[in-house]
Amino acid sequence: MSASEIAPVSATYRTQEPIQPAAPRPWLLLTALLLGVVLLSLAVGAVPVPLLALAGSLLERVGLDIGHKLESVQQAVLLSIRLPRVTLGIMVGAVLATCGAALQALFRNPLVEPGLLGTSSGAALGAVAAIVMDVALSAHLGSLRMLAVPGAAFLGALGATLLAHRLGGGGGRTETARILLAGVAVSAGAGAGIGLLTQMATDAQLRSITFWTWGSLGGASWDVVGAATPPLLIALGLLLREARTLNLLLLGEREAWHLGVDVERLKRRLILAAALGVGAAVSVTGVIAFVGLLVPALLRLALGPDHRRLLSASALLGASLLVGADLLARTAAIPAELPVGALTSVLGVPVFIGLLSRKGAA
Amino acid sequence: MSLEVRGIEVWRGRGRTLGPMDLMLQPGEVLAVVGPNGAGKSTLLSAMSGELRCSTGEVLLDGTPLLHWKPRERAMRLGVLPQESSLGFGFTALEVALLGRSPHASRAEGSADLAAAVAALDATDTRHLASRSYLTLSGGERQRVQLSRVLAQLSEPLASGHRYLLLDEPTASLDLAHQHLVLEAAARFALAGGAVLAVLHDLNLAARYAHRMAVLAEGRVVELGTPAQVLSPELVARVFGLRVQVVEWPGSPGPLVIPEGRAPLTP
Repeated sequence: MSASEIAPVSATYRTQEPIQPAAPRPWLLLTALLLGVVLLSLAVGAVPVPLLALAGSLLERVGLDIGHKLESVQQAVLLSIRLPRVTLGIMVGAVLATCGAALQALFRNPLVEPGLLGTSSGAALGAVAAIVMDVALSAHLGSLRMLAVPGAAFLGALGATLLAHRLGGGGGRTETARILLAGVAVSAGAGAGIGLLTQMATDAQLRSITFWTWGSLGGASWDVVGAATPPLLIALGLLLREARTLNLLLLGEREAWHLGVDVERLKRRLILAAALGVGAAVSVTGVIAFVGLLVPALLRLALGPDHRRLLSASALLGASLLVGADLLARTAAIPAELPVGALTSVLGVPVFIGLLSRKGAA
Repeated sequence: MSLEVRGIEVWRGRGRTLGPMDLMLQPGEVLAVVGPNGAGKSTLLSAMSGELRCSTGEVLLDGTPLLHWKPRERAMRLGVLPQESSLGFGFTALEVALLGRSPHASRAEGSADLAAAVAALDATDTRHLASRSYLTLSGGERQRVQLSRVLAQLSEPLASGHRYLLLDEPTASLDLAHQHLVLEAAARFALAGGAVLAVLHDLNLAARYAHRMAVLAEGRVVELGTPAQVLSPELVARVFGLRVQVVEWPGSPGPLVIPEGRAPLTP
């Protein structure tokens, strides 16, 4: 009764089809899009910076004169206002979208957002607390005063995420549903704290709080870019490294474990990286909603769920989206500036609803 | 060289759901685990795969406690097909099978991995689904694609040690022909030197394809042996509460179990 004696009773094999793994190659398109948005964003604004003049000034440095040059005002606007703003937009957009993609894999839900872990509201609480206490603190902080709001926001983001992780059973085996619920609780608590602090704020502080909770790249300067770059790039690097293990995680935590992934440690790494990235992003730009949700969800429709494509594509498209939205925010109602987070929400809500009503959105 | 369970017990709260139990899965064999609902079959499988920590006792993979293995080394030898999977993202069937190669491929998959994945799809008759999204597949097709993933994970003979395949109700949602196809694939895996433990509900399937059967009831092994030794009307009545006839049929590799009706409540 050995296996070799068993006569096959099963259906005959089907005709064999050739196998060609299809891999969409989005890089050219996404890079071109980002480049286009960046150039447009550098050129357009209250002080126009013609791209021809920009090219002329760059070529002049290497000894070529094409007869076009930037005026000194244009050069100042470009170097000290637009370039840091666009740089920050690229980094924050890339990090928000990549964190979104990673968290969607962690929770195996394509509609998850970085804000769900309590990260964004924790950052908001930190920032609002810093704004309201500004007067009391300013005397002692001196030149550090400029960093008080982003610093407090970053600490708030990290603290809230770790608290949610801890409440969700962080010590032993964590269940992702519990972490999400803990994130909701932490968000609610932070929201209550913000509400109470808002009551104590002066009118000027209220304006600052409102603007901050809707997000803006208006605070960009080379100092801010310099302070935000290390945490943003570290978070991006940490997440991009996990592309393969994120794919395995989509199969389910048990399945990933059986394929040799240390799932508990992976979850801790992902949550820490996301808190670092989102915390750093929110601390310099405020809450910019939906970038982390929209970009990976849309790209998954076009590219499939493989994170070796999805993560870097999300970074590219997230950067384009935020730089583009910021361009709109600062040019739509010159000289006023719209909050960029409100614009991304205007874009995001209908797409989100569309994704929700799609059956089996993935 | 074996996958060995030594004196394990699993407690949930105050109740013991499994054990004490000793069991050895040996290379070259198909071991079927049968038993009524709640007998502890899936718990045994979780414990044997290392996923569930045992309260006492230990599980040895080729002589070394399961906990001491590096995760990737373990994954090259020990593959598990869960009862149901919750993949909710649109990988193609081929991509799912390729995910099984991840313990082997350090970076990108090579042509050897692709060949292994395609062969695994062939073995479960899912190659024609290779470029279909997993989300568009039926329950039985998904189950077969998931089996391909585990077969691809264990497709290579190892330089040292053996390969162990644990299947939790691999035939649950399959049509009749594919039930046999999947167990034939398991039998071929055993013939090539691997070891298979399969939780099965159909005693006739178990009798046909298994070299040995373990009958579980209330968390303990109550019978262990070849299907011909194990399957008797008395055992089925005692364990499952069903009156049956067990007959030999010419040409059938194992005994056949023919149900007659529910057994009287008292033995």
